[in-house]
Amino acid sequence: MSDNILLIRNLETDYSLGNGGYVKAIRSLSLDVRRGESLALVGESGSGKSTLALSIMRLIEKPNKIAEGEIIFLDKDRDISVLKLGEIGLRLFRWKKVAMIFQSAMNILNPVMRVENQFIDTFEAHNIQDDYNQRINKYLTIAGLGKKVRRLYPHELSGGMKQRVSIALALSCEPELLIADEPTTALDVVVQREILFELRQLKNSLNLSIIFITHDLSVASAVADRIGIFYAGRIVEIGKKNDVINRPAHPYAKLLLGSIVTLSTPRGKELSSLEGTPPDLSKEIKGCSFYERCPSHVKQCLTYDLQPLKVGEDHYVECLRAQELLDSEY
Amino acid sequence: MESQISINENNPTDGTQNDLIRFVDVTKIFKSGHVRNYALDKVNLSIKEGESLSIVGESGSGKSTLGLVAVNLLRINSGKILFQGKDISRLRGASLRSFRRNTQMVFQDPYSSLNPYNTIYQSVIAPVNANRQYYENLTGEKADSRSHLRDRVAEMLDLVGLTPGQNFLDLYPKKLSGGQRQRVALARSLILRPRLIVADEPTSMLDVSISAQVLNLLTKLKKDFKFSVMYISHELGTSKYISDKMAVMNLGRVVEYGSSDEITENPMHPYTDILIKSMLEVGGFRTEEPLAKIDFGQYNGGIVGCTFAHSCPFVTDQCLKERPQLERKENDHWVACFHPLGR
Repeated sequence: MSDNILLIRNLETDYSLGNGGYVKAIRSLSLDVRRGESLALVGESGSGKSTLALSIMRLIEKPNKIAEGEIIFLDKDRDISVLKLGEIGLRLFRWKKVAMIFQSAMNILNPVMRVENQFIDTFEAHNIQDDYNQRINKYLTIAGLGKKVRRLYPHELSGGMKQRVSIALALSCEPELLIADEPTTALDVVVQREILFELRQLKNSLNLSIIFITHDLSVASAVADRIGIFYAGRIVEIGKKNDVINRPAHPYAKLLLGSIVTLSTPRGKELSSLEGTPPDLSKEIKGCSFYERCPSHVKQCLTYDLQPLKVGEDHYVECLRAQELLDSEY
Repeated sequence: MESQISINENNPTDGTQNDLIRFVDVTKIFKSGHVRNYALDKVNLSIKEGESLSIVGESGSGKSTLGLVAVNLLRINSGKILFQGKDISRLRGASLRSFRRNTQMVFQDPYSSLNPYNTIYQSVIAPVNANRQYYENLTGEKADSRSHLRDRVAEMLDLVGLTPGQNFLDLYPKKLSGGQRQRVALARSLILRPRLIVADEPTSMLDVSISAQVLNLLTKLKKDFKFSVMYISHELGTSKYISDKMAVMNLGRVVEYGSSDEITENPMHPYTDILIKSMLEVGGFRTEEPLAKIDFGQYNGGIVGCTFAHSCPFVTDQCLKERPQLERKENDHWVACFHPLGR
């Protein structure tokens, strides 16, 4: 039924500890990204969400490695196996098929280059050959910036404007998939809202697919069609935005939702508190990785094979007791 | 000295005895070259005993500067800061030290606010070592036996949720997570039983679930120790969650002040209104309506009219020429605006 743009199968990304050991930041993760959807991946620091983005972009560098798995980009006429791409193939893949924007927009811009030259640099690196001028103007406009920004240096731009330039840059080679890694975390609330609005609108007008990485469930719910919850290198729950938010089934997702404070949280209300720390990913984890911190764990969780269970239409959870807990609660 | 201060009915500083700290026309100027930036531009505010006040605003609004001058880590250019009725803005030497015992600060970054070469015990006991006589008077106990002090620190660590405290005493900060470090920072700030805690974005660097723990803890400690809190944050949700009072800052000025419920439900200043509408909820945007773009641009020196005039949808000539003063509109709601919303 659904038309996918990216398939990830049993992906495993390891960070070297320098002593021969590895931290498994992504643990045998499988995920489908649909064409034209915006998928938010939500998790806390160290959960592996950014590592997934870097793996898709093939930005994992030695001695760290993508140890296993497959990433397949479904292009219009052929399938690209991302992990098998060579130097030239990668250059054609990055930015033209998949582009990325980062949290620190200020750091991706070259401080001694005018904005327009940053665009030209990108075009040259990725073999774009049409009228540069027109293209620069087009994408600056799309990102909500005026032409006069072209002649400015990054230090002359505000934080929000820099993020807009980086969005314009990311879109300028017409990628089909955009990965946004915490694009608004460093911004003030008013600007954050503007950028999120912009991204949501661009997704519709350009028929873009977006993977939106964030630690903030409210940001995720503002832009996403589907939400995936990350924990210890795996997606423990994924489903339509409203299902995940209104009927979270994984105990971790439930606790995460209960710990969020927004303007509608009553003062003094006891927030959900998550005891303990995430598991050590350099060691093998048996069964469910949330076992030790989980208020509802049972013995069987330790031998659970991590097959996602369906708890609703398009709603999957990696928890043995998900259905039972849902039934008792809602 | 105090009698010289005119008490304005309209100022949110009623000058009553139970004001713990009171800012009167506080101004702080940062010079860069010939440019004078008003980080604080005649700020009038007060925090009562046991009350908590959230200072909210975007980056550059002056909220952190207000926190720093409140604990006297920065000197003000003009105005007065009265702590328990005494002007602290010009204190030096012993009297400054005695003031500092009563105000403590918790910083944003728990990775740089603890000395990496000191154990947790050494960090938490440092304020006691600097104020030994005071601590002895405060607790009525001799502070000369190390084992006794270690017990006291361990108790404090227990109170901030590092249990059992004894096990944490000899650890170095590198062994602790961000949330645990922030708990240590809280323990250190409480060991001298201060009257005022200034917390500058204490949770903004923490994960959501850890931030929830710190907020729970702060709520509990506030109840147990009955100190006043100045909670500084760009995040209106946690600000309202922690404090019953709120002050909204914009370019060095307080533009709205009052009960946090009142302000967040019925904002009167157009700037506050945009801030609140920009906040997100679990579920998405609070409103789909287009909001006025905020453009503060570059300001050199003091602003004659309203700081928000150039972005305000309701701007009139008056707003450009005259500074609106903070005026009481409801029992517990002040606003500095010639055309407040809903009036």
